[in-house]
Amino acid sequence: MAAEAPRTAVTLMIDGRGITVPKGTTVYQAARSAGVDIPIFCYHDRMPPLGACRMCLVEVQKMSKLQTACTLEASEGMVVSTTSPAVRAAQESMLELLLINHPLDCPICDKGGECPLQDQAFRYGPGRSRFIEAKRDHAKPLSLGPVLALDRERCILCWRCVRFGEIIAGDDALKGFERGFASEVGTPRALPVESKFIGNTIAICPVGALTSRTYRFRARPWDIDPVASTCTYCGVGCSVWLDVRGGEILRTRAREEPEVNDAWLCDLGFFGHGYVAAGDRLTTPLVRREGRLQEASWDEALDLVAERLRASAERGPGRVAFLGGRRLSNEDASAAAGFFRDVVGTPHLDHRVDAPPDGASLGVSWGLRSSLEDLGRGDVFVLVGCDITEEYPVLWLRIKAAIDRGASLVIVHAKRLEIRRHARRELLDRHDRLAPLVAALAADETVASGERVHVLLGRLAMDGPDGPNLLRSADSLVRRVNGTLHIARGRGNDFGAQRFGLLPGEGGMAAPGILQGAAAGAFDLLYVAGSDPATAVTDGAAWESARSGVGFLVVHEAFLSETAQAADVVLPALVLPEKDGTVTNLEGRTLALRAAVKGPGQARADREIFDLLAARMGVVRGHDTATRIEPVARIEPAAAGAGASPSLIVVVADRLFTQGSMAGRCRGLIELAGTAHCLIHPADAARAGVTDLGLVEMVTEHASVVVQARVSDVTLPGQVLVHRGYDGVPVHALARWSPAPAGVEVRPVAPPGGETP
Amino acid sequence: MTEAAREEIRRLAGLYEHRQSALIPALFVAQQEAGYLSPAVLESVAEVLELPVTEVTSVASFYGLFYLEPVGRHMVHVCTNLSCMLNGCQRLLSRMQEVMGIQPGETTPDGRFSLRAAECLGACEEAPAVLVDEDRWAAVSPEGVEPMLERYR
Ligand code: SF4
Ligand code: SF4
Ligand code: FES
Ligand code: FES
Repeated sequence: MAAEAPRTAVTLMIDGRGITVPKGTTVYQAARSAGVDIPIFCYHDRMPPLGACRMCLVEVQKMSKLQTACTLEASEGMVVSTTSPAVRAAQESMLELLLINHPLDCPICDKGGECPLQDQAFRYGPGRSRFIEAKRDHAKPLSLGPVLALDRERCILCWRCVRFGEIIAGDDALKGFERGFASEVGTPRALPVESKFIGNTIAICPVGALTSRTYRFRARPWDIDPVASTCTYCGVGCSVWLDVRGGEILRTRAREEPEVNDAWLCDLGFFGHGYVAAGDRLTTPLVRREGRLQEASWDEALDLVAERLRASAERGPGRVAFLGGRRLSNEDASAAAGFFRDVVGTPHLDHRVDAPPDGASLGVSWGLRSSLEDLGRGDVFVLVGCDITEEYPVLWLRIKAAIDRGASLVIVHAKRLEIRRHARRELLDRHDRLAPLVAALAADETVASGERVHVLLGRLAMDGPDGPNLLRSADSLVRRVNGTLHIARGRGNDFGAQRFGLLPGEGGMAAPGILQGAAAGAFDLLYVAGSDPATAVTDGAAWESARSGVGFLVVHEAFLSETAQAADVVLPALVLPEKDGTVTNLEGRTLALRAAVKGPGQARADREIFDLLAARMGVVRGHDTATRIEPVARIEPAAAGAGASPSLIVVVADRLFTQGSMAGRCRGLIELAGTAHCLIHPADAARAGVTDLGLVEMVTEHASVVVQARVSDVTLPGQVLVHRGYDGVPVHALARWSPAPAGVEVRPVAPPGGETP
Repeated sequence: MTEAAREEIRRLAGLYEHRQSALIPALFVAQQEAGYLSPAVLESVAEVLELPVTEVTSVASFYGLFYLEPVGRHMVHVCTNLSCMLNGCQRLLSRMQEVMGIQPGETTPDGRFSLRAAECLGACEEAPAVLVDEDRWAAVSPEGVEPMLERYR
């Protein structure tokens, strides 16, 4: 037979209409593109078809049996019916069979009103059941950890949730157990599910089997007003719906945005709105009188701040400094930058509050050097000190998809990452010895032969003792292999703060310099907004001495944070879900924020506060003034300090679920964060007499903190990992800014009244 | 799990292109050594094969010949499917229960036997069929039960 020219399009008939689609399209997709509805349960358009539920049966001429439209590839001349009597009968029996064991407890089911099973039973169901036997009877719901509840009676075994974990997230969080009639989805022995993406399974479950423990029984979908906005936690900037009822955000859902988050969220975003309605929001300005912060009117507070700013100006220029930006919108950041540069007249501004002076973070601008989409097209990914699922979870989903298409992942880290199973190569060493590993990568066959190599340099690498060397090695690596170096550094709207000018201007100091300057008495007034330096600065003493060296501290805050507690004036600020405006994500994209709820009491937007202050200083600010953006000076990183390396070092690592000011006020996330803990290698634990889950005291030459120990080979010998972001546990007090790694001693703490082991 | 078992599992994994393929044989190795697949044993298998423990547990729960709960030293499966039913497996099973003093699904107090009613053992031509550990017994009569069990201490 003569070879036919390869076809790129096929034409088929569906319900009497001719439809032309690219070759490779399924009948289901072809029908959908033409507006023909075929009911589905197991198929989800972000995953390959499975053909498990048989809801999508269609009749195809010349095929003897009904076919599943979701798995059948459309071919030239195919004649398909989605409404023939045989199809109708099949749809009715599929639904009758599905409902045999379904409890039909729609009146008390969260999914009611937005449930594909309900809708399809209505449209395609038989309207009666011949089934009179007892239904499956399970204790309900089964709790699978702090955020997820499973109602096994409602599950129709479509496998979407299981396949999400296998295909999209790569965490294999939920699985099928037993077989036949006894089949169930869940976790081994109903243990708490281990995932950072489980909210998505709640969203794609086509019935009410998987529900959110924080949203259960709280609302009906028709009572909710969805507000299109953006998640502002990590900097990926996922598009969300904030579902509001009665002035409160009740849940967060993914809003489809193919270029950013596709259809997904991580659980920090999914369960992370509770803080907005927390009972301890600041509602009035506070002014320090007789040593105590006391309620004041806006006029009193603003007058006081304006007066202090004027007084400082009289003493000379540049005696005011500003820190913060991560939690500001673009508009707030721009207003802050304009206010301090033009009205106050100081170049000392910086949003990079958690950067140490001698790492690599201050010398480069933060963020990706390509779009997320371009990054997703890479064929080699090198993660250097970047714990992607803890830091930029939804970005991992793109890398995972690329790996499934054949891309390779190489990990260089001081920790065994949870995604290591997906890596082609894992290079591990202690935190202070990572640079040679990166340098050696140029000789790695996969990396060298990659066509689109993406290197992500993370905070742990950049701010570590070897940061400058790592930056240089990574930089020369991407030059050699013609790759792209991304600075995976910054959270929240750090990227907007950077873009809209919250960086040192001409002659200005960077954040560590501002803190040191403040300690030395260089400033009359320190102004903080969108940040909590008392917990964020990575040198425990630097903040304390800055605070005591500066005469006056002004803080915008939503909560009485540690920084706010030390302030002279605290101005109650709106949080991002209460504001209209924009933020900038880590690829530099501008994303819209929509005010979902009103703020509490007299809280105001940061931008409005700066405008009110400017007016008091005699300047009326229009909002169309273009912001001047000073280029970031490229500073030559200092060489890492040599010297004896301690035998046990402490490394402050990032964790997705923490107990910071926002997540620490969200139900579900608090439990996911758990107690503050450190990770210690079994060998070191044995030497120190530390037992798993026991309390330990971590002692450095500067301070000590008590945390729970988790004995685990996730960390390496000679290195204790401890997480920042637990506001009650000041791990930063342990270290001082220093190019040398910080030594630590770990001692078991005897339980009170107990015996020492 | 002993180092020998780990080594054997690693060897099995090396026989296949994908390490998942070694999962079922690996579970048999582990079960043989530990008697049953406890959560800790499943975790060890997952660790050696570098597979998610959820997947390992899921697969183990699918197959009737993997035991997730403690069982006796000898596992007795009595087939109760069609051919064996027609050939009198009920009497055989009753005799078995009488001799052991337990119901299907239970283990004798001395830990010697566990008894289970099974689906088709693939020995229909010699029904009723019994599987003791890995030994297949064909055409067992109620009278043959005691001598058969005598062989397993
Ligand atoms: S829990 Fe929901 S998504 Fe998972 S298999 Fe059951 S019905 Fe499908
Ligand atoms: S990945 Fe980041 S932006 Fe997206 S939902 Fe999670 S925390 Fe929010
Ligand atoms: S949607 Fe086609 S088989 Fe489930
Ligand atoms: S029915 Fe018993 S062995 Fe087949």
